[in-house]
Amino acid sequence: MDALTFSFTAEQAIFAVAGGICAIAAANAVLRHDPLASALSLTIALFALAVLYLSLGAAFLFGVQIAVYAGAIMVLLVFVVMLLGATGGRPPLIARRPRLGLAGPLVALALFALLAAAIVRAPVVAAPTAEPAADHVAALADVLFVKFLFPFEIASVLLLAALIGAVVLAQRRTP
Amino acid sequence: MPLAAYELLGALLFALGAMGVVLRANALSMLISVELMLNAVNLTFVAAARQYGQLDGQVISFFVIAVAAAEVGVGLAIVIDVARRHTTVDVDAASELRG
Amino acid sequence: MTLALVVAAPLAGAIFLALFGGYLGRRTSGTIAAGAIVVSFGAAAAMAPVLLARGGSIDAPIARWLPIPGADFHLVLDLTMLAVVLMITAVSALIAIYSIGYLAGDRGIQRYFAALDLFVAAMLLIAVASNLLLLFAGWELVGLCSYLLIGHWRGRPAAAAAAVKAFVINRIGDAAFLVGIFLVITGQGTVEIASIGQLSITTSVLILGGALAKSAQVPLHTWLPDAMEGPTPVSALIHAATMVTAGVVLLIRMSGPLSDDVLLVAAIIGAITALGAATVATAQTDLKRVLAWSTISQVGLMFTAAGVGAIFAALFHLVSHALFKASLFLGAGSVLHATQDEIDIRRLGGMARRTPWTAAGFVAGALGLAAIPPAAGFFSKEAIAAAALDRPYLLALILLTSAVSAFYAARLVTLVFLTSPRSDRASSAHEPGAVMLLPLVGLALGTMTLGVAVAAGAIDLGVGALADAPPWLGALSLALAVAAVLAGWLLYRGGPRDETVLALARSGYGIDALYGRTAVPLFEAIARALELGAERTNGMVLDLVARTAMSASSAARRVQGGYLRAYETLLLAGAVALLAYWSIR
Repeated sequence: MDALTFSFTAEQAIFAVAGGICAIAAANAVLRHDPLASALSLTIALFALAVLYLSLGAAFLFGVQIAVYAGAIMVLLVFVVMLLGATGGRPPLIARRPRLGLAGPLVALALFALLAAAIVRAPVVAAPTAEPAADHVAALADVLFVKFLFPFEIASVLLLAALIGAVVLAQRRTP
Repeated sequence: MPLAAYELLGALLFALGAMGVVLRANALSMLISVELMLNAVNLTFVAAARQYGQLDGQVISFFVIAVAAAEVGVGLAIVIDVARRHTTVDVDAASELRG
Repeated sequence: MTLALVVAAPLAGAIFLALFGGYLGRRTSGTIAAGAIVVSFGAAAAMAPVLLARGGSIDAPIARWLPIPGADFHLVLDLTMLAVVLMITAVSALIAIYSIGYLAGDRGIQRYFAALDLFVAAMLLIAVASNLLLLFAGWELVGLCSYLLIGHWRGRPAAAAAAVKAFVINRIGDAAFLVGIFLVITGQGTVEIASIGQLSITTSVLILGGALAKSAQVPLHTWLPDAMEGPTPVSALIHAATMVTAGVVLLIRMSGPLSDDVLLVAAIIGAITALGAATVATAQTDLKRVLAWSTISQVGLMFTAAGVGAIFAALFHLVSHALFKASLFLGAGSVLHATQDEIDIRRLGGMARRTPWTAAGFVAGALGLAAIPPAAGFFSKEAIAAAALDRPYLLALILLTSAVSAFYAARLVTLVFLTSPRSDRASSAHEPGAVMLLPLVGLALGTMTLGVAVAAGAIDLGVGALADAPPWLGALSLALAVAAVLAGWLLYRGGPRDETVLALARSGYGIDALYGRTAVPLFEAIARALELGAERTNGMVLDLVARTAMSASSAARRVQGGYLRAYETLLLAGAVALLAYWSIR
């Protein structure tokens, strides 16, 4: 074999492609004028992320991400964008007031730099030797409903509250 | 793939989302940026879960998605309400809560 | 108990009137005020037989006060002070009744009567306090009431200025007095008057300083003429009968402990003041100011008597002066009341025909002033002259003063009452009502009868009978007085004369003006510097605190601009900062 050939594992390839798509789509989503375009770009990024989850061994999450996040949440978002298309006005990309200038991007850049520095300096953790469980969903359910039972219950209460809240807020007030 | 790579990607997405939140004037665009940040976190959790050989990270991501759903629902309801009052979703117009 | 009542009655009257006077009318509050004083008189009179019988003094310890030996609420009354107390209460009561008529229509009359009663209580306290600190309390209260009463007519800036002037000048004396008391405490170990031994010259001088201010003697006399801005009954009470005599009372009560040298100095100051003030009185054209300078002069004579140790003479003249000066002031008040406040004697005249009763009372007082028998003034002045026989220079001053006094008394009576009216207000005058006439008549009668009674030995003032004065002294005094009166009448019976030659005298020999150019600006400069220093700094500090708080909060406010994105950026920046901090650690 040629010393210069570097072997791509499947995972590396997926990471490169899906990760790349995700990053580009995310940047597009953030930088686009039109909220509809942003929403659709985000959806693409979410799909890419789902693929990444799959390659990371989170099959269930892959499904959930597509069904709930990209499916329900983004649909809702797109729906509202189109609903407000007539009444929403078209604010500029970068708002005028308050005159923050480049403060935002600079802070974000600082944030990234800090995080990157922390990540790079962190000690490398050895990869696990144990095989992932055969029945992934069962194993996941085991953790979810035993170790995280309380958060699970609270989450359902939260969803109920959000449901009621959204309904109340979105009602058209009769003047 | 080393964990660091996924973490870096997550950090990048997170920073992009943060920049979007601060930069955008459209309420819906801000919401989108927030979602991006949440997803970045999810990615980090899932990658860490794989690295440490535990499923806890995935469960946490699951919860994050659930909370994100709730948040988007309520958030959009608020945006609709604000849009009705001010006929615009420009967040800079809704500056009445000043001190 | 009875003794405590003497002070307590007017005090209670004052408190009652201060609290409830607003609900009472003119006559009611006046009656209460006068009534309280009459109660005081009655209580004092009730103790007279006891004192006359056994001499000595009545003691009334009431309560403990300060942890200084002798400083208690403790009253003491002997025959000498009994005379003073009776005089104060009798004259004050009559003046209170007179005020009911004089201040008719005055809206602040209840506050006047409250201050009046308080004044009487304080004055009595000076007379019967057993110790110097309690006396000083009365002393200060008298000063306060003087301020309140002189400035009673609040709308008059001249009255307010006069009240302040009186208070400030008295303050100077009070400060000296207080330091003197401190020296007494450190030197004698007690403040109880009966227990004080001989005092040093310094202490005596300081105490004398207090007396000089309160009794308006040189150099602290300039407040008294200005104090005429107050209502005339106030002038009658405070500046004839009581407050100005407080200094004399102090000298009498402290005649033992005070250094003899200082007492002699007091006598000399008194005599010089007496003559000087008499000449100034001669040149005055303001009816009340003549009487004011006259008071300064007569009190000077009392100082002379007290200074040479002639307690009886000082006391006698104190009482007799109270009677005749009060008569003069009340008479003057009636004249003012009748002529709608025509106070310039050059524009008065003919009052004898228009207000005969007032004229009679006034003339009685004038006789006392001129020292013509049977007025008491003749006998009391003779007593003083007799006391000075062994000091010819003092005797000369006293006799000269008497002559000048008789002269200006005649001038006053002639110009105001005997000549023809020189203004509309004078010619349209009418006699005031009974409530004002009766007290005047009472005082006039007192003037005429008291002197004879005392001279005949019928009334014992507690300090020995009239010293056997050589008859030639009495004859000489009488001759001088009559001559002066005649001169006065002859010179002025044709009306006012050109008195430009008296201009220097009229201004009080420029003393007041001198103070106005030197001491007053100095004090004002000091006060302003203090204001600059202390108050301004204080103000600046407070201001600085306030401004710092305000600017800090304004700066902090800008964070809350209401812009969502600003909040977000700050949030993010904060998180980044935290992260940075942690990664550095």
